[in-house]
Amino acid sequence: MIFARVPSFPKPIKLAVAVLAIILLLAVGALVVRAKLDIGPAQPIPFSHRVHADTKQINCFFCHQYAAVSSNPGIPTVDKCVLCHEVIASQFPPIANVLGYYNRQESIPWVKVNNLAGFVRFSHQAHLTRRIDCSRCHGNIKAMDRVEQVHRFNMNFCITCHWDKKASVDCYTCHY
Amino acid sequence: MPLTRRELLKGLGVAVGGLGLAATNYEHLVPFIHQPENIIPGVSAWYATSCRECPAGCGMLVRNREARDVKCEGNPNHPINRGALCARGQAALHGLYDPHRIKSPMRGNGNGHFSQVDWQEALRAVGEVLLANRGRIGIISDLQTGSLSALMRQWLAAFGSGRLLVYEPIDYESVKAVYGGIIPAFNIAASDYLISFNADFLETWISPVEYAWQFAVMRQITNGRRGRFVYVGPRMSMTAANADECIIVPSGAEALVANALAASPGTPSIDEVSSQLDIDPRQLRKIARELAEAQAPLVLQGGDFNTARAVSALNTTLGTQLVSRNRPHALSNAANREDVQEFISAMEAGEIEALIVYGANPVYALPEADRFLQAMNRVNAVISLTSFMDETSTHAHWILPSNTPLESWGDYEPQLGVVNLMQPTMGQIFNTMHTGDILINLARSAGIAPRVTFGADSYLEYLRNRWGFPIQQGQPLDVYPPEWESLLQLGGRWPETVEASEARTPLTIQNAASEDSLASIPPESLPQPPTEIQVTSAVPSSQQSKPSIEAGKLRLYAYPHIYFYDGRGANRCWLQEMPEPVTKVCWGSWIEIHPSLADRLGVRTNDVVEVSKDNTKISAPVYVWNGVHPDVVAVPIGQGHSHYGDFANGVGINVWPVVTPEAAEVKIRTMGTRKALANWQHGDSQHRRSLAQTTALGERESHREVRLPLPAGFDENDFYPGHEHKGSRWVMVVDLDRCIGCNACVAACYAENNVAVVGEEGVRRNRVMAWLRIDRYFDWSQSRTPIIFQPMLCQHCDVAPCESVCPVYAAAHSEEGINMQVYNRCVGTRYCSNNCPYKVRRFNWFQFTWPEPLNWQLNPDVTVRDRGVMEKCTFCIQRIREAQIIAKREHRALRDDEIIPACVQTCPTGAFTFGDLNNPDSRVSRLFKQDPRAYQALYELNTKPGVVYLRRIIDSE
Repeated sequence: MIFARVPSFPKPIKLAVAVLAIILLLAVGALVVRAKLDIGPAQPIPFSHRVHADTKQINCFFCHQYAAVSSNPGIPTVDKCVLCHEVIASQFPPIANVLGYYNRQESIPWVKVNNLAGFVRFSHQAHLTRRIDCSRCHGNIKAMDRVEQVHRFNMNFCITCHWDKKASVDCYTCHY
Repeated sequence: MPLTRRELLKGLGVAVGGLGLAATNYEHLVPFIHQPENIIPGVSAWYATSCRECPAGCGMLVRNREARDVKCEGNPNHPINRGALCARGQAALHGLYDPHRIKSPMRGNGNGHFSQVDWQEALRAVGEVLLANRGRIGIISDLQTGSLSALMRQWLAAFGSGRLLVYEPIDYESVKAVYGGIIPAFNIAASDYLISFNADFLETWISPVEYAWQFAVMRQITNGRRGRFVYVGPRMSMTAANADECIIVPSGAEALVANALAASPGTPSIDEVSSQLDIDPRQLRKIARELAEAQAPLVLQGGDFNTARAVSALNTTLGTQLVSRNRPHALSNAANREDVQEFISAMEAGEIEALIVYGANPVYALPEADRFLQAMNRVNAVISLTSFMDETSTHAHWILPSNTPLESWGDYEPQLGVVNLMQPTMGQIFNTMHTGDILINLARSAGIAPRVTFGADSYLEYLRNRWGFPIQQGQPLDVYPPEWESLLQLGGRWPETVEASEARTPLTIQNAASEDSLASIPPESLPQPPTEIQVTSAVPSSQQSKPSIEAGKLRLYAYPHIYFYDGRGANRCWLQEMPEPVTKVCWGSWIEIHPSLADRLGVRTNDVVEVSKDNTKISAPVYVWNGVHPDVVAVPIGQGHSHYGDFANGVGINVWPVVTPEAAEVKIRTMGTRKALANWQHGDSQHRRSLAQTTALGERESHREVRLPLPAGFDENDFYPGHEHKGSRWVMVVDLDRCIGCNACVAACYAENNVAVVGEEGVRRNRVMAWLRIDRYFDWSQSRTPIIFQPMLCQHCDVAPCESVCPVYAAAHSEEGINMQVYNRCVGTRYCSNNCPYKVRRFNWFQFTWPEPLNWQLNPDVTVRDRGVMEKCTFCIQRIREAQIIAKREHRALRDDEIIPACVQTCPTGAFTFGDLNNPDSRVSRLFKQDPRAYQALYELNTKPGVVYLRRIIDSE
């Protein structure tokens, strides 16, 4: 017979297992919720925004050059990294790694940190036109070595600000 | 801090979710290594090129996002199409992204078995073959002009051969025959009386987009008059549906009518012809009189040689000035039937031992395909430079896949003096090569030095040389002189630049409309069950029998399908899904017959019949309707591929084997089986609801039926107060008099809005996902204009029935008057669709997918909808938002013409006008508020739509 009966455990053991499982789940869940959400994904190159944006005072738009003219801010091309690092600290192992990518004519597979649901249309350009500071959504990037997502981009986060700034809260502002 | 209940539940959820996931899947951001010019992520780059989907050669702009082509639009500066594009042009992207494209060079055994090889090996081996067969090489190519054509000739000469067959299955030979071997330019725009003898110039005939805007110009009303249009032919095609009068005659009898109208000596008079063909003689006499009185008459000829000769004689009699031989069409260079026969004979005689096939598919599209195939099998080496594994390529020994036109450099001269320049609009997708480069490389591997023979090492260099921009000493190939750069940006070189074209601006407000009711509905009185009777010679339609056209003999009328043309468009799933404009059938073939013949046969629509000519038989379901002559069996050409790709293979029937230059006699019999055709429209009548309305030309009174979708449009009869609109109120005006029913807007909407293709079964189950459709209504009691088209899209009502029934506010009203559908709110109750009187909401019954790389075409600005949500027209909100954001950045107000939805952009006749109703100076608000022809669909429901229709104008006597 194919569908054989599965022998069942005695009831008290079942109950104990269930209670234990729930307690375990609660413990793990509480830890996750209380703990900081994430420290951000590891990147192929340990790039530090703190060093570039704070110590060296490089403007955000030097690398994210399309933020003011496009929905997409853009990330620097590999040759832009090489532009400076051909001479600056070129022997430092992670930077040698960058030069390695460039010499092999390969792209650096940066890991995306800030994620938005697929049914939301967000335009960097529109927000920069209204002079919203980058840190409003991205947090204090200048203090981060490894970038993490500071705010969860759920609708509450977006719409609170839209109310504050008297921006449109029409569904079709973002959802289409 | 105590753990709250909410946190506890959250934690539980996170933990359970976390246990299920081994690791988080991160997306990657992959930067360019070097910043390419003109590519900004998130911003479209537009490349000018030429549409090569048919020989018309419209100018095209291709929108490139993040290095992928996502949309084709007409080039507004181009003299042929003036910014418009037909459905085939829109679907050019599906040629580029066709999942069935050949992805690398292949070696075959001639019987359809192939193995992959690399380019180096393929070029070397084919080069050797060519060298061994010097002097016995032939090329069959589709219509090419300019550089590629010149290169082919030079290349053949270098191999000591001269056999180049420019093969177009639809060759317009009869037109060429009467105009001294060329196809002249027809100036329809300047005509005030147009007669078309079986020339479907709004669908496929020579240059449909050009003739469509010219037709719209001709139909503009000046001083209470406008150009009249009469159609004579065996079938009420989409073109005929736009005529003031349509005379249906048996296939092959058009010449009789033309001769009678010309009153040529020695031909039957109007009375004789009328009685023979069962036409009202008064109608013909009236046309003859009007024709004689016309200032600028023009007669067009489709069909057979007799018709062409008779029409040419008629044009001469009328002394028309509107046929210009100074600007012959590129199609003049296509081979005649004789040339094709001669080429096949040469193959049979062993004069061709290496055959190169490019762009043409003679094994499918040649009436004598069997003979061609036998001859081809004798040839030593068949080398196909195709992009697709079609019927001809399966018999090839070598396949060297070429780039599609959108990946290619090139030029094309559709009319003498109008030269389109083509540039790659995106990088190559597969391991293919440009046709010109294949030829040059083959010559090189056969020991011919390209630098010496062609003066160039690559096709781009060859092209630049011919355009007078040779590469400067020591400069790389991709450094362009500024003049060349500006030619690339413009899209080519032509004599006159196009001003903001008059054709594509909306009508000026004119005479008012009459109260009208399109009431009477033709009963579908064909109840008999199918029987197995055999009818050979069917219904005599008139008593008299005349020698030139025998009454009672069934004649075949095979017409090129508006979207597949000669069959080349069949593997584009958008085009398969587009309904043929008058029958509304898609995904298949059908045989059109008249109800009287159907009565004789005892068949109804969907019953399968067999049509035979001599020993060749085709069978398909019948489509029974009044628009075809009782003695005619009409079938569309273009389906029935055996090898082309999954979208085309096995769909419908191949009609080419029964196509003859003159109308052929056929027999028809029932098969006793049924096969349901996939039809977009399940009812042909308006059921007395006056959805698509008409008015008489010269009507003085205004019968506007418009309630403004603004607070001002609300009164004490309304339960709720009106919506306050912030800033704009987007509205659209659709001119039914301009709409020719061609579905270009529908295809554009599919391309822009990621609308899913549901396939044959999906259409049968009424699950078409189109946001915009063209409804077609028959009213056979209107003898002159029984067919009317109506674009139907979301009406963006101010009192929207869908909004009030949505339990989750997914259907809601936007601040700017647009009726929104919010996908992330929608839970799929479908109440909104149920309550929509216009039936424009579409439900995602399935998770629709796009086979790789068709998904590359998806517009990144529009959400791809999931299963279980409703969707519908958004007035192209992504284009509105983009324009608004840019205007804000530039600190200025929106211009009236700045926002152009996809349907508005592509319409060849300018039937749509879009804009802001709150702007009193906008074109749309003038038309919306003042045009006497304006009405809202289902006005009596008081939904206050944001879409206003202008009534179609019917010529009074």
